[in-house]
Amino acid sequence: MSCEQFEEQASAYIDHELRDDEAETLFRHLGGCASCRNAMTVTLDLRSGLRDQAPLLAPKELDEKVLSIARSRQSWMPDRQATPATVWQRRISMRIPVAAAAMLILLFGSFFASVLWLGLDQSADNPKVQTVFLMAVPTVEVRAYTMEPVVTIQ
Amino acid sequence: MQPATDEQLIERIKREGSLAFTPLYHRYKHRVYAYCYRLLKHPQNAEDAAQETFLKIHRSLHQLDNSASLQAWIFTIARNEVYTMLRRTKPSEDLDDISDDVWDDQTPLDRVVARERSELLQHCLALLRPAYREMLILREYEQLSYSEIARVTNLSESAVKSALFKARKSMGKKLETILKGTNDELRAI
Repeated sequence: MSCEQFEEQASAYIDHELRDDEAETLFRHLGGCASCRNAMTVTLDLRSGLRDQAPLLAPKELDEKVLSIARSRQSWMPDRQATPATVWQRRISMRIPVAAAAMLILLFGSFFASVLWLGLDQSADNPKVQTVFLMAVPTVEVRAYTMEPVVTIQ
Repeated sequence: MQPATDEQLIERIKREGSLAFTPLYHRYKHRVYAYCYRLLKHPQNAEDAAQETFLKIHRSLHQLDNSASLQAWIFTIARNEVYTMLRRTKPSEDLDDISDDVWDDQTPLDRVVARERSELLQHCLALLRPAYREMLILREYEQLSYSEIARVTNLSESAVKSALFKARKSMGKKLETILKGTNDELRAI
């Protein structure tokens, strides 16, 4: 390891960022190298010079500005965290004509699908067909945009 | 009651949300302002950057991760605000307009000595490359660890270690040059 690399290690040692084994190697080198010892002293002096400076204080006006804005936001904004709903918890809202069209498509789609599945030659009084029709009729909740009460169509 | 540690503060933020903003603000206001000031070198711009930093913090408190370092998170936001401000305004290199009321009170002699020493160090710091200056500010003034500096500056820890070493070496050389120049001037009188 070169002196330059040891100086870098010394800088990290000052910052308490050196492992014990690395520190041991560093101090073995420092014992025999005046140049690196001198560099470490300069670094320590600089550090204490910078840290000994009087602290910079935030102006009082900052308190007034930040805290008043934060308070005003607090007064109208509910303090809550938005959590996304799962797919099954979400409601789909649509206009009544669109909902009606979707329901018709579902009804006719299920009718044609059941006819294709069971065959055209089987009669409608077949209990299997009736079961399919009953299962295929969906339950749709339609929530209108007007002030009317919620209408449930089954 | 003010939380004693950052961990307690994080717990309070998780519990109370933005209601815990005030203790956070009081804990960090001086450090954030000083950080902005040292990089921007302009009191009004520093105040504006600090204000924006805290308002962003207030808006995004719910995004704070339990495992995250609070100070690294805060300084990352402050750094973004400083860079936005630097892009918007041309930084002033003049440090003479620092208001006296931002420094702690000292005896007159102490104040002269401390001020001269401080001005010399500030001058050397201002002469450094911006990346080196920022490293020294985060390490020496804000006392962030290498991992926290790495998070704030988006660098690796080894890059931070190397940059800090180079920054110190560069500052030492500049200080030596200035002091040598002053001694030569004194000898010439």
